[in-house]
Amino acid sequence: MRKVYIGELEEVILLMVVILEENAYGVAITQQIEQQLNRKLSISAVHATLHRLLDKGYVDSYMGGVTTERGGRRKRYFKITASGSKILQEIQEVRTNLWSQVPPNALTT
Amino acid sequence: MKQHPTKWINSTLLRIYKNELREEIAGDLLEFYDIWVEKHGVRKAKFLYIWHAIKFFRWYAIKKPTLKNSNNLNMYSSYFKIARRNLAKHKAFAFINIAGLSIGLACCLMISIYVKDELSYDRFHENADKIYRITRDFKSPDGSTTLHLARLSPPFLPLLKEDFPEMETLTRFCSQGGVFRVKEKLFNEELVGWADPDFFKVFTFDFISGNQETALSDPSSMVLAESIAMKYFGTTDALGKTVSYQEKDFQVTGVVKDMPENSHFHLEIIGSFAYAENFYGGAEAMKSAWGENNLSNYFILKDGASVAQIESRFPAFLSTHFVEDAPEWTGLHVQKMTDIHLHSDLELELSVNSDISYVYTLSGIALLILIIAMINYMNLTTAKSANRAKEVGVRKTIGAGKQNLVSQFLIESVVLVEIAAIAAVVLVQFLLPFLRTFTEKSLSFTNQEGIMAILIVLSLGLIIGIMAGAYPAFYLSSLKTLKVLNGRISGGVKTPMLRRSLVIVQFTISATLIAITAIIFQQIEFIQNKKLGYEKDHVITTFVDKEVRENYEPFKRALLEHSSIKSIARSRVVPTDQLLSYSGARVELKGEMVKPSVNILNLRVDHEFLDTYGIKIKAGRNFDENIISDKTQAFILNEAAVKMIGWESNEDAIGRQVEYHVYVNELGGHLKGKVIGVIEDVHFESLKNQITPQIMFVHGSKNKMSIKFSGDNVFETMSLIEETWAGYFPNTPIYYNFIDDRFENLYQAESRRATLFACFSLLAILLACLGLFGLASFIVVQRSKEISIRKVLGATVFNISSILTKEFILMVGVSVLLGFPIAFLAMNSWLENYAYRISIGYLPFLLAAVLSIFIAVSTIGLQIYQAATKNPVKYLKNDG
Repeated sequence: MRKVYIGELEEVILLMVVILEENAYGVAITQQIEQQLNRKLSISAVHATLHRLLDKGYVDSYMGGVTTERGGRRKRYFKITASGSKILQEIQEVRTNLWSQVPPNALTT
Repeated sequence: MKQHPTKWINSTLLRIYKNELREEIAGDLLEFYDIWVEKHGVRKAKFLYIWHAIKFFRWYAIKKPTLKNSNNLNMYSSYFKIARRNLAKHKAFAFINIAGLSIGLACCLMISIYVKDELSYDRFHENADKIYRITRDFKSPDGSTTLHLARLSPPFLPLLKEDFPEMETLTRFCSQGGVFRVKEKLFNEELVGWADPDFFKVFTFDFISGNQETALSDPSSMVLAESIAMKYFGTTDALGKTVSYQEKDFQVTGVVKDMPENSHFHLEIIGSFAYAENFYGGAEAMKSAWGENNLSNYFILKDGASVAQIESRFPAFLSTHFVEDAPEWTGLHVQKMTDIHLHSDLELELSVNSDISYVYTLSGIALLILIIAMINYMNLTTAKSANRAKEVGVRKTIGAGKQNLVSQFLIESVVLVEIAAIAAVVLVQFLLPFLRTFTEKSLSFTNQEGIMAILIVLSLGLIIGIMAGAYPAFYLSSLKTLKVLNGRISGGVKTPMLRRSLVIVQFTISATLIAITAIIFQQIEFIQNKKLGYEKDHVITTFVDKEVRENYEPFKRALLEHSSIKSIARSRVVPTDQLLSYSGARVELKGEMVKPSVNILNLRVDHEFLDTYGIKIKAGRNFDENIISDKTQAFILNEAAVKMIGWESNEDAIGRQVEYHVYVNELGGHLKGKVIGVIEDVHFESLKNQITPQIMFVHGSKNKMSIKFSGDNVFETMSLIEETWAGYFPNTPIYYNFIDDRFENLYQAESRRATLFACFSLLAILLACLGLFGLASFIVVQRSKEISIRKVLGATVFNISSILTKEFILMVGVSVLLGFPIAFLAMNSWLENYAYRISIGYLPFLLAAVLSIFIAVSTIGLQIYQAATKNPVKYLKNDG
């Protein structure tokens, strides 16, 4: 399989899917990103990214039960897949590896 | 319960998204909607809802058109195949169609190229939109304009510089050519300007070498065009080299690229203005030379300043700096430089300008030709529909819908038109050289422009293909299956209204163009054969320079010894020149000296002038060499002047007192004297101008020479003149024109336009004939059964031919009647440009009518004859 590239926004959203566990769906993810990262994204952008991740096989989705709050419409929940977990860990490893090589005091603030 | 104010969006906007995504999109949006309502209120929330709904428009989310079967796509390739086969099958038809369209398109293209060039004049200057020219007019006491000059006299510019801060940079130049000497070689140059240092700040020149800031600051500096540098030195690296003019040495301080052709002035040599002061007798004399209007003045308008504001201050400016009453008889005006080529027709223009009405007319013709070509195409295609009707029937039976058929025929149409478009581009490639020679323009393209043009033509082809193809396509696709398969394709016997009106439109255009062309040629004929009042044949004219002036008499005597030389005269202007010089005057009327109501233009001539040009004296006598008082105290007027002043008759004018306000040093005052003769009115200038009141006198400089010779052996006579000239004036190369050539040149633009008009009219007519041909064949096919039955019942070939022809003659007749008022009105306003014009008679219209009908009948004749002579059995037997 070719190496699938993962973008920064995709990484953030993938992490959110993990963090939100059972409640990972469009609106919640958008709001969490806004609160935690102070980054305003439109729902459509988040939506598009989630579906991209779906295509790449990093997340899985399933429809939730009937709700009352959104005109009776169901939510699409996302769940990280094994390959999703793997790529997140890989990214983490690469970063840690790189960070370990940064000489002390090299970063001036 | 929460409201759903945006329900309609869910049912409309969101419909474009995939079904499986719609639920979550709608849900998510609604959840946000609630948040937005709390945050921003309902209105804003609604807006945000819609906005975000639109933002979901991404590739992954939208519904893709689902092809139920791939047949559609296959059909398209089949349509192309059918189109190709159809073209190959009906080669003659395809050829006529493509030829007609491509000729029409090629015409349009050529006209657009020409028009584009006309509109591009003077745009190459960096500041083109901010450059203005200052012009000057002179008014007669009765308020009419005597002259409107494109140039000003020398004192203006420094004063304007002071008084008008809105003029950011001012510059001027004086155009005067002459003989230039490089080492021992002499060159006669015409395109020479003497410009002040700011010249290159206003106008954009492409410097190959030299510094444009300082190029003209030195009094002996000179800038050469590339081509001149090559001619003089064989290299463009000419900096610092020496060129002499009138015994002064100039240093080359710059070499510039040759000016583009689309400029209202052309200079090849630009010398320092400091030298031009000599033309006025020094810098001091120049400051008061208010009457010498021969400098072209330009300025760059400051950002935000207004031209109207500047113009409104001119009268006050003139009173202050010139003379108190100046605004009463002279005025200054401002023209935008980019308007000069198409909107300005003043005296002393730097080159012959064009006219915007010409641009409009040509664009109109281009459009008309395009319309004719499109109508043709529609007619020819529908005419051929009979052949395709069965195919349509079969296709319909098998299951083709109307849509399929329409797209099939549109594709065929577009394919054909695109082929025509490509053919047109190729055709233009071949025809452009002719257009270039004919218009004397370079009409060149950069590669980029060429590609742009081709793209435009192809997309134009697409549009035309769809427009022209729409009618045949809808006509064919709406045929009733059963009827078609039964072989009955047409409803009635008559040609459908639409097609008839199309033919009428075409022939209206053609008849109008024929009539217009005839009238234009009549007018040109009229002008060229009008009695001018002078003899223009066998006269040459040349300049009298310093050396010639000094040695004139011996030269004249030597030349006159030969019998082939009739007479030699000197004058300030020669016929075909513009009369540009006038002064105030007073004349004796009823015992008092009064100011005439219209300014009298003057001509300085010698006593040989009238004989040389064969101008008739109506009363009195010519100037006499032996009467000394004739030099300063005698005047000859023309009849127009006599009439304007109000003297009773030509005889009455003789001996009347005249004061003409030209200052004469020897007299210590103005010219004063008596009228000694009255001449016939002579068309010195173009026949566009009315003959103005004119006065002739001997005094003053006369820098043109006219030589009249016998027409027996022109070639020998010319070499005789050239030899004698070279013997007496070794340092002045001879440079002469024939008066009759100059006369032709006056109307060159007109006759060129007329020819161009005639060419395009011819094309329009040709194209209209193609259309008629198509229609005739259509009708003949449609009426074949009727014709057959008539024949069976005993009709003769003549009967049938006349039945068929009648309809066409009627249509052409209607067209002719429609076209004539248009032609009449258009031509009447065109003729108003001419002071001497024909009145529009019935002849051009008769010609147009006869020609139109003749062309129409000969176009359809063959087809009708064929239809009328065919064996009726052939058409009758296949009816089921």
